[in-house]
Amino acid sequence: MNTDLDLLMEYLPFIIPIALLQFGLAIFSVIHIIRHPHYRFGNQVMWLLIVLFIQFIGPLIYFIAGRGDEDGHVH
Amino acid sequence: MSPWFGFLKKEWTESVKSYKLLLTILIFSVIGILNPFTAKITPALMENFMPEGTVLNLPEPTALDSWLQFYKNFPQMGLFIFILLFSTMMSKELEKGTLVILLTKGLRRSTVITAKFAMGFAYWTLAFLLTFIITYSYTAFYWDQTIVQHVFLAAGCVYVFGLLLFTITLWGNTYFASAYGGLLVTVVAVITLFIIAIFPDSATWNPLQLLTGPPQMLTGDVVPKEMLTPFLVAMGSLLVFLLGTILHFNKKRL
Amino acid sequence: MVMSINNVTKKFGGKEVLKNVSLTIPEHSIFGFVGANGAGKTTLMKCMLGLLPVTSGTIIIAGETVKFGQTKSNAHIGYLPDVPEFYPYYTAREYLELCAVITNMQKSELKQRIEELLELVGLSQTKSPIRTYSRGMKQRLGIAQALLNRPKLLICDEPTSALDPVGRAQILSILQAAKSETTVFFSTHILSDAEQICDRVAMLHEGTIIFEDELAALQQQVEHQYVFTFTISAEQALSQLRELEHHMYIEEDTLIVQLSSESERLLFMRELTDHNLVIQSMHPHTRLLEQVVLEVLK
Repeated sequence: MNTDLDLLMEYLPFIIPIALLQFGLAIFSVIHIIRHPHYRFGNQVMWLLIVLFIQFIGPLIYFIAGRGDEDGHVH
Repeated sequence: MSPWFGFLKKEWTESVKSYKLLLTILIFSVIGILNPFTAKITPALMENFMPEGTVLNLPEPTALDSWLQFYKNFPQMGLFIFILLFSTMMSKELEKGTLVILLTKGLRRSTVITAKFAMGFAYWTLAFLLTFIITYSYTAFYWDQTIVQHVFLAAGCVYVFGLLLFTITLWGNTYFASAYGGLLVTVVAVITLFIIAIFPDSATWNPLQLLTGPPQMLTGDVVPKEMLTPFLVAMGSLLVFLLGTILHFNKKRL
Repeated sequence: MVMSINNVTKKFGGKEVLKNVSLTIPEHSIFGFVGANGAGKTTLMKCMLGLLPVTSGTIIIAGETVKFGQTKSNAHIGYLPDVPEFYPYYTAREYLELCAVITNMQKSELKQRIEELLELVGLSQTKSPIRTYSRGMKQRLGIAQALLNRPKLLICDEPTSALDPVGRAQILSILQAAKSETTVFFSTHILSDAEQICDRVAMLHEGTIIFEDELAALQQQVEHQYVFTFTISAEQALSQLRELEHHMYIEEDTLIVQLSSESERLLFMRELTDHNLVIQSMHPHTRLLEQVVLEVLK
């Protein structure tokens, strides 16, 4: 038990920033998906799941390939 | 503001609005943290996965392991994502025709290419510095870095190679006016370099050395002098591709 | 002459799209460039802008010969493409600022000029980015950017084609207003648009200019013919007037009569009164551009 805690403490300088970045990116992506409900393919639920459950790669795929065109027909 | 800076500002705004700045900062920070993290955690993981009772005598990770991770992740995952992010700089404009108005207003065609190149250059520098500085800081914090040699020079080699690949992508992207065109040209270029590398003699000049040489530089197996010719060849090819892009675009039908 | 096109030929592969086209545009006029879709109008315009190379011939704009690719002549031109494409994340004001910087406009002049143009095209109150714009708004922003650097020649490719009647009227009145400070060269396949604002008209048909003249000259009245409408239909009127010797025929429910002299006109009026025909309107017969075109094409 004690060693586990030591281990955690030792890795904390890595875990905290990674978790923050991961969490921030996921939240940001979720907000973007909800506010821009137009996608090159797929639907909202699919993108929400991808962004929330595939760490880093999910949001990356969304912003590179899935995000609707800027020119997207907003109306 | 001169037309050149005006167009550069437009490139900057575009990259921010299309989330390229955000993604670049995020991805390359993560890669920067992952390098020392992977180096540190690997022995612990190995112990966990081994059947019980196996006595493993894994050496403690060192600064070298952290930097080896850097040379594995940054040129592979990092460069790949970077090229992907910036592979549509020209094709997007050419497909949509957004340049027509600006060019018919008298914007120099070479300005378009050089400003886009400058923006890509700036982003690659940002990406490189982020990963490098973060990896460097962690490594310095956990380990003794005196055992690795030429840390800065070795990293610089990878940086130059990335710049060369970006320029090739820009050329392909302009020449074929499609996103896939740029990527395809880059893939073909990399494969060609690997084929050339089959011949042992080519190691003295092949720009691919800038990618494969740095880990050996850290241990002192490759001396910086050996990198000079590959570096010059890479810079030369970079200029040729940049000039080729400008010349081609000067006579492109829009 | 703000522009002269000399013997321009353009081939795409083996197909001749423009055949030996020559054209001159005088300053401060509105020049209508009409022709069916696919006649080669856009091709000629792209050649004028150096976006396409010509096969042979020369184009001179404001004293500067147009070269394919990087060309100095573009500094004198404002161009509105048929479908103008902007950067969707900019607002109209930001986009015009970019255009102003590109044309090396002085900072002191920049703000006022942009404000002036946004007012002219009716976009000064719009704060949203261009991606939310309608087709008509994009077209108006297109004109604003084209006029920005006070070009000597404003080239518009089908500026009205894709718009509804209101949008069309707006564009036409903006072009009319632009005439005071520049020369307007615009293409259209809608003849009535050309008729409304042009001073001169040229028609491109299958790659050649089939006529080019002042609009007034083209529309000159058909000599000694008058158009009548009555309270009854033109056909009924014609049947009542059948025994008269004047040359008469019916066109679109109006009666057109050849009356060569004042006395003949007076006489005809008298006849009408005798036949108890009440006139609703009477005016000299003019030919519409469309009829001119149809005649030429025959």
